[in-house]
Amino acid sequence: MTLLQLRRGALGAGLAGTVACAIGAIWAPQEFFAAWLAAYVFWLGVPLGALALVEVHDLTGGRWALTVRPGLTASLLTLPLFILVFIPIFFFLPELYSWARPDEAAYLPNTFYLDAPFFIGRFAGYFVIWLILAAIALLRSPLDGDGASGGLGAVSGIGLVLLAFTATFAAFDWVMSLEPHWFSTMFGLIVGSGQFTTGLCVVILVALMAKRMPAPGEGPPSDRFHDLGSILLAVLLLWAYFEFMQFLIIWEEDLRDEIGWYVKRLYGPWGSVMLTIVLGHFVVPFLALIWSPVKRSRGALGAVCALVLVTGLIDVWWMVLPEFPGGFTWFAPVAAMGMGGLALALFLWRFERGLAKAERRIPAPRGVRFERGVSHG
Amino acid sequence: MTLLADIREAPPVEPGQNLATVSNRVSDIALRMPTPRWWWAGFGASFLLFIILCIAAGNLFVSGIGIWGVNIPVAWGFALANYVWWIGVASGGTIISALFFITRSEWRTAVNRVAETMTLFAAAAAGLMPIFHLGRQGLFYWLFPYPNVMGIWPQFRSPLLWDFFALLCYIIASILFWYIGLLPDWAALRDRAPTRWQQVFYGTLACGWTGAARHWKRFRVVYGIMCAFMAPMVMSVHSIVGLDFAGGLTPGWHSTQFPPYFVFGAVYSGFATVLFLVLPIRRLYRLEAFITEYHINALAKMMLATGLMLTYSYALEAFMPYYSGNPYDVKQIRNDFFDLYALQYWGKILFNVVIPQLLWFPRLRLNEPLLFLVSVGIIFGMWLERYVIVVSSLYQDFMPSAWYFFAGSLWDWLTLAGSIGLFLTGIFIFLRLVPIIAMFEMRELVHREEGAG
Amino acid sequence: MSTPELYGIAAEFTTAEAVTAAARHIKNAGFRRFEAYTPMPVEALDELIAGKQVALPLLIFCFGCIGFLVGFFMQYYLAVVDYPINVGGRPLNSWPAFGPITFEITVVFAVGGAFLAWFIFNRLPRLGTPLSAIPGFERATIDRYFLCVEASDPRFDRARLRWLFERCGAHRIAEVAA
Repeated sequence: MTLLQLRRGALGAGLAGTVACAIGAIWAPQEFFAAWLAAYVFWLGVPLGALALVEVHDLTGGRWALTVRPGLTASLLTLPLFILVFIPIFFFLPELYSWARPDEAAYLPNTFYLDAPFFIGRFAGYFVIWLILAAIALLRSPLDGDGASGGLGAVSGIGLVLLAFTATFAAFDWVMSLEPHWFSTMFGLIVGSGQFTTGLCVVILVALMAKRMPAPGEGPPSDRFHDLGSILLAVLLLWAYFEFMQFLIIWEEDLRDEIGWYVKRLYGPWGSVMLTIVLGHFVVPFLALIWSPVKRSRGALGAVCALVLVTGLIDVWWMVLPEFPGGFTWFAPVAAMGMGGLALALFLWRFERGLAKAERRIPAPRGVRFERGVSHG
Repeated sequence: MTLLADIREAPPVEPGQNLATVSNRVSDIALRMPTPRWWWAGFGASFLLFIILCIAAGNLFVSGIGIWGVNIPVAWGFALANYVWWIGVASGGTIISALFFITRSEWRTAVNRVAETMTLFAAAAAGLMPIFHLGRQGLFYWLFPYPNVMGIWPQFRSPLLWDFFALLCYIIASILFWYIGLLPDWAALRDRAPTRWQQVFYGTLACGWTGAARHWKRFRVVYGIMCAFMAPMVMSVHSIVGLDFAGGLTPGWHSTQFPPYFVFGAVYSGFATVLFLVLPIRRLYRLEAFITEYHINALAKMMLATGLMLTYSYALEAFMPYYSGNPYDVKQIRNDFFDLYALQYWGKILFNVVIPQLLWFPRLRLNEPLLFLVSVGIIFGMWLERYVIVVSSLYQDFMPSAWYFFAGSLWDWLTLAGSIGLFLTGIFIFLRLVPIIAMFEMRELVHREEGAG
Repeated sequence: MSTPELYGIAAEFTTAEAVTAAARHIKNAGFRRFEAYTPMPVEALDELIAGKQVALPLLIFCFGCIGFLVGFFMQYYLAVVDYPINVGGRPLNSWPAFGPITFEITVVFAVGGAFLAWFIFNRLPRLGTPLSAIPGFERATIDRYFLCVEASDPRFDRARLRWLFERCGAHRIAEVAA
């Protein structure tokens, strides 16, 4: 399969999924929007995770960035798509959010924050910040160097602070406020680390697949994938830590205002979904990644990333869908496919151009270049 | 205002060092150097404080907890604030040593020994506090799950018991980790020791280490694995300290972000304490060739980064009560802002959030007196943070009839000062007897630099 | 050729590169029982002498697993079987609440196991090695590199080894008494 075929396939799937969702939405708007929001929160991880990766790399350096550079650039460029696909939600806020329904909002203590114009304004604010950060990252392209470091320095430091706050409040706005009585200070870290995982897995997978596809030619040495595998392991550990701590505190306290969120998600079918997430998003990848050969093997690392991506999507469903009477519907996978297909098509389009550009820049013996990268690490 | 460009200018080791100079310079401090006058002065002062701790503890054991300022509802006074403060310093030291070993950060090499040692003595100071805090200190062994005639067991669902286990396991693991990392250096001291007692002393500690290639290989394997365990362990330890609070229903404590919030604070105070120790040590012992501006810069940057994470937690702590609309939580945060302990609250913001922003500027990061003062400010600010968390959440609890104003008594302050004495006494002994830089890691670094340059 | 009272022949080198090259020669010459003594870990020697250490990480992993089981089932037994008590309606098997202690005990078993296993694998502590007798060996922990071929090696041959060491640029060569 060539990149072109993959891109066409992605575009086809994206359009088909989106159209199917749009038609279905006529009969079941709430189910559609719930699924659409879940897909959105999941796929937004691609640009946001990439943004965080670029900035973390810029501050700490490391040769791993060379491997995923084209993927990171392409991920950042999918950001504008995520403005477009959210716009329908603005017109149907009451479908999703009970705080947008006046009769229910009357009993809420936090309408100063959960209020439609303010919500839209915050959305605009997040994207202004993210677009500026992405533009800085792309224009001053810290990833163009030899991979040892970037040089944005303080800009990336401030960028990460802004990203942390905006991603946190975005998680509060879009997911936590689905149940407006429920609150958790940890929630931003949970959703944020989940999105970071998504972004990381996507760029690793693409870098791994680039070898299989004719476009980029020879691949980099395996120890760079080893580093990426270690980063993935660390992020998964963090994610699991955040998740477990929130769960433990709320479970221990068993307070009326808080435990309801978990009651919906721990019992019945969603309980087994949670077990799947625990196994697929933490236990299995953890046991695989602590074993060094897995991190060096393309196939195994790719399988781990794919597993983490799939369970990451399930995890977002598990967070979003139990809030709706419809629960899990056919919309969920179709919306994920539709939005993911569109994002992937855009991603691959930029990715091919990035690869072509990289090929032009690097003359024949690419091995030399990678060696330089190693000596810098 | 690039943060990284400047770091490149300072090398991790000054040029002109070789394997022999590394070993001689560092081991001579422990073996041959006459005890400097500043050491006697510092040790004397610390030991005096330590004696104060003994007196304060003695009085506590005899007279009981009533000599402190605690009373219902502020039952967790200084002891708990001090405990969290010290365990934070300890955790920070392990994070520096273990986490940054895994990330292969070069700047860790010169400071990891100081960080690990700091961990041990801070953990010792921390461990005393909850025991002091028990009304009947002699019965602390009830926390162990040991078979007893009453046929009962500790309550495993309580965060306070988790805390006991966490601290115990953490101290054991830290000692093992510290000791195994020191083994090759004990051997170097043994082999360079000029006097018989030093040979016997360090030889015993070195356990017959000779630097065989098979031993080194296993050393690297084991050390790497230990680091991989210590880094999550230290996060868990301080998270459990966070759970002590988050597991209560008290407004201001029951917040899901407490575990990472406490970890951020711990690492923050750890960096500040390492800088507080390293800045004078490198000057007093003239170790500028090994602890270079590169290290100072890196530590200052890491300190700034963790400070920003802590700022994130402070911000959420202030935001969430208003979002949740819970009247008790709102009252709590308003108390923090405006009420009796507002001075302490804004003090922590000043020392932990505002002043450290100076570290964005490379020139200020390398201004040692300023950096030292900022670090001291952070250490103090972290104590204030814990004080505010403990006291401000308790003094006006759900029942207004029980509202109470807490202030530390003389014995509270003496215990705090004494615990600093315990910590510093330990550090001074370490400065005299233990290689304060991991020599073999330094040799590796020097060897690599020679190869590169 | 091996004499019972001889432990081996040791050579002193001044650089890590020299000792690595010498170790490679010795290995290529068919010797198996030899050991290098260096002031810091030399990565190239790992493969030549130490090989892969598979057992140690596995053992530590097993220690961790044992710690996990001990940690969890201690709490399970004590809080569910031996002294069941209802705490605010929480289930007897409060597994989320057992998590922290389980984790700590897992880690302390793994770290403690690693510590013990390391000493046992290395046959430490010990009072000294026969090499300690050769003059200048104390610099093996400072800045010199030693390579010692033991007399128990089936191919052990004094003259040949001396010749090999000299060719490899040994600084000094010494016979080590058992």
